[in-house]
Amino acid sequence: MIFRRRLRPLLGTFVEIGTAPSNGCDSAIELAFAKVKLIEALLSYHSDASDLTKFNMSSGDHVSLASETIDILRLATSLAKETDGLFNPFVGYALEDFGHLPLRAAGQNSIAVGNFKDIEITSTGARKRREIRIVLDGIAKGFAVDLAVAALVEAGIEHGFVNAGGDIRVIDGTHLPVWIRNADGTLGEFVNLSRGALATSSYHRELDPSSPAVLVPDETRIRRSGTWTVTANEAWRADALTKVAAQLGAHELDRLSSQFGGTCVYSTVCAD
Amino acid sequence: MSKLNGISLLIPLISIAAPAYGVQYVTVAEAQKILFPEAVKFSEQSLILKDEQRDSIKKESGTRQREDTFKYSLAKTNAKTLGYFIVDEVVGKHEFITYAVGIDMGGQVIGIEILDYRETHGGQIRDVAWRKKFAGKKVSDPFQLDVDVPNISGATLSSRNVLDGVKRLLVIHKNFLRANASQ
Repeated sequence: MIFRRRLRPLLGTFVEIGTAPSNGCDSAIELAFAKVKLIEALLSYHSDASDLTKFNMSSGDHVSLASETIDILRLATSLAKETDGLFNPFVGYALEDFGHLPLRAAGQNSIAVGNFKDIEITSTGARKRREIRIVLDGIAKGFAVDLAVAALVEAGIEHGFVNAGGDIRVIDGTHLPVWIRNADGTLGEFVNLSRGALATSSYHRELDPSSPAVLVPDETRIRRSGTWTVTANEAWRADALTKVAAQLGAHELDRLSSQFGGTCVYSTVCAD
Repeated sequence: MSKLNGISLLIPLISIAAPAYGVQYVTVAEAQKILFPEAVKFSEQSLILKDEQRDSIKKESGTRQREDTFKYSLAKTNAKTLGYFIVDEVVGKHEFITYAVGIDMGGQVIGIEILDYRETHGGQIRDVAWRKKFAGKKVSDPFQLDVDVPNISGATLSSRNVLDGVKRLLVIHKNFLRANASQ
């Protein structure tokens, strides 16, 4: 299929939205881009005005948040619980200290690496139970992709896709050929995506501040460099599970499907 | 043997004619319509920038203004000027990107739309996977960019260079374009 494709710089990367060509497709694509822009505004760690920063700078009081922010906090927190911390968004202070994220004045008794119990989420917002900061880099792109695809569907689009920096979701039944690329840019694998979502992350054993995807490794996990591609029904989960895949040994990768709702479709581990 | 010959003949064609990855997204006319839907005309302008003016652009924006002739368009209705429509390009280590920006009369960015995106990240000619894709294709087979180029996942590029380009355009607008708006 030849898609009507449009590309914009968003979320620190490039976001592509494509649909089968039709009279209404450009306005549907506009609505989908608007969702991505909304998520960028709400969840950017770099922005002083985002919901995420508002929450991160709070100190135990309840903070009112947009419904989209509440949704992603719920998803991130429950995945942190499900994966027993293999996926862990409560690492803002650690990444600030490492120089990967902008430093802001710290609260009292700050905790570098927290867990899912450190946040209480309500129907109108959230509050910290301990002084942690949340980073949503590992899940926000996927979440934005899901919202954008939903906007396309709501606008009546039957075949289309959204690709935010390699986090891709298709409207089920759309056939999208995908090249998976290794961290050095070389081609890894071809796959066809015709339902759900796919995401790829590379993990560098030495934490590198300029790397767009940084993990805080648990000292007890095996640390390797490599590239992992995961598929799942939804893009937020595919995105988040790439970070989990990177921390599982090769013999454990089937936990992704047996326990966490994703499948690792490609992985390369570099000899260290 | 003949398959190998097919590939070896194809490689020079690919290295000249086809980037590792290239997609044309929207045309200039489409980008004008997206960024300024109410405009009825776009009047082309150009501005000569002196060396010291280009130096001050580099100093304020952090990015070099390479050409001394700066081209832009004024988006207009019959009654008034709506803003500025500018086509610019980024030539980075791995990327060649042409894009359009709309800036309103208050100096705010209305939107950024990528026109053309070409990327050469990775040793594409030598990749087995890339060559396998073209195994069996003859030199005469057309290389259709819009049919054959799939989506990419992994090692994607940051949009930093485009955003730096937009920052440079905003500096140019603030210092050199605003005064000319009544034309």
